[in-house]
Amino acid sequence: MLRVKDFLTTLQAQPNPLDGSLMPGQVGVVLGRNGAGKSWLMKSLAGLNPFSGHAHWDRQFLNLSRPAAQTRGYLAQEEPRVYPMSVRQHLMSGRAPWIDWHAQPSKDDDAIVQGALERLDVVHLADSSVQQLSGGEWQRVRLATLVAQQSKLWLLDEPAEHLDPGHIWSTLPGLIREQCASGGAVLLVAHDPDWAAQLADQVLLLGESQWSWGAAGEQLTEPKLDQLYGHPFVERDGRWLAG
Amino acid sequence: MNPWAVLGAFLLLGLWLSIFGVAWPASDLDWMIVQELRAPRALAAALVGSLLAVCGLLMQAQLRNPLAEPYILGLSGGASVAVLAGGLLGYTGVERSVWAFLGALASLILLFALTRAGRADPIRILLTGVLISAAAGALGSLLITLSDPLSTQLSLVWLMGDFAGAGVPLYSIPIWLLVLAGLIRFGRLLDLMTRGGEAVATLGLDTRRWQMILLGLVSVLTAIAVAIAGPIGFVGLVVPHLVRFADPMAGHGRWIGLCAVGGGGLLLWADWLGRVVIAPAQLPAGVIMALVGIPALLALLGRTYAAR
Repeated sequence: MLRVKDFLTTLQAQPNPLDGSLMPGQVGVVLGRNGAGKSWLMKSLAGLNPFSGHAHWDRQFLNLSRPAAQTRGYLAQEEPRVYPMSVRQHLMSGRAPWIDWHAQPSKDDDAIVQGALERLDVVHLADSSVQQLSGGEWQRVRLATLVAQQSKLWLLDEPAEHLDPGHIWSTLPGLIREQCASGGAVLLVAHDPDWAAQLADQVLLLGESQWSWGAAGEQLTEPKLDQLYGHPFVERDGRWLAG
Repeated sequence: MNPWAVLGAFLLLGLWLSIFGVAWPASDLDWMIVQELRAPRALAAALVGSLLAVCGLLMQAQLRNPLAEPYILGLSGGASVAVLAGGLLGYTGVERSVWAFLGALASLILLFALTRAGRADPIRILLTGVLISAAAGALGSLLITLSDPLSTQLSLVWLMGDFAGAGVPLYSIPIWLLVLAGLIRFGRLLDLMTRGGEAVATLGLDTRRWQMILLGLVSVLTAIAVAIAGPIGFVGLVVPHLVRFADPMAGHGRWIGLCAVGGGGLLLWADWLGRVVIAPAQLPAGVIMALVGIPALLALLGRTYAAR
């Protein structure tokens, strides 16, 4: 279980400390305007930014240690592709927390990488360079690398970015549900409240005057979303439409 | 085409030309020249080229900056000033390597202090390196004016990057091959590092520790190269780019090996060309490399900007 307590990032704009949790099998969604601190929060939870308070999964503190890397995977918003690297090598880099620094990848690692390639339907790209991929293909490869890491907790910063509608509405939710079904949990940043509402068990609203963490049913209401985005939202049969 | 075969042939042909020349040595005198002068010189050129090319690759991977290279970023300049300073104090033997190391390390620390530990924009890092080189050049000139006229001449030629008086003991080759084998084994970690500090950190690797180990190693290797033949630029820029272009999917393990072969070949050819183009006068290999390397740097700069 992810437990976050008195969590205060170094972001000046954070109005109050965060408290909340994600049970295994749950999806948490972070919503907020541009610049509200969504990415900053994710980086802080990943251990990349300093924070005060607690963040842990079961007994493992979320920091930059190797056991932490075996516990949580982090998908950054972007990753520059400076040098050529094969897609297969990129996926293998996700195995790093499980391979001693002096050791080489084992047959098991190869099999896990192959499974992740198949899961994200990028087997045909395995021997291409990451530099040659389109934005959407690259995003799927990065997700596959995350799958190969085999961590319980996923921290995803805008995982739907660059994906086409088929992948946004079926591949990605399918992946997230599998992660949850296997006893993991997912905390993700989303831009589209409607898409997020289809997945969310917990919702974090990063407003200007308050950061709140609560059950999706309590957080996703018309007045709260109106206030968060400064734009009217209406609910029709469980779908959220921007007015 | 197999890049190993191409670069291997390039290296072997360069070695052949440097040692035996175009004509087969005939007299005993010819053989003595081959044995006493040309073979040590050729070994030195091959070793220095190999060291510099691998250093360039390591720096480019670690800083994630395709323009990084020990000469351009001022490490070679710092090393040569330190060697000149040591020379003034009477250290002219093997201790030169130690002085060179201290100089290279000082430049590296200065570079990191001025560029947010190497995380700044590639162009800013490049400019900072150029400034460190310029400062080192000025300091070097000052030290040369302070030294006696006889050694001034030698220092000036050495500062251009020259193999005329250079030679390395034979045992240095197996040592370097061992170091290379170690580096190749850790190619996986270098691949990982090119994903960037944050990605690597969240995968549980101690990035700061690996950065220090790697850049410390680069300082040592650069210092050895400078102590042998003076500062020679652009080998570390041109060779890694060629290697990555020729075999993009190989990964850092194989790129290290290819750089070692290609860099050695390139300096052998540069040294040989310097000896024959305006014979009987000789051009230092560093001058030939600048003639090759500056257009290459300009082309890469163009590409770095075009990519934005």
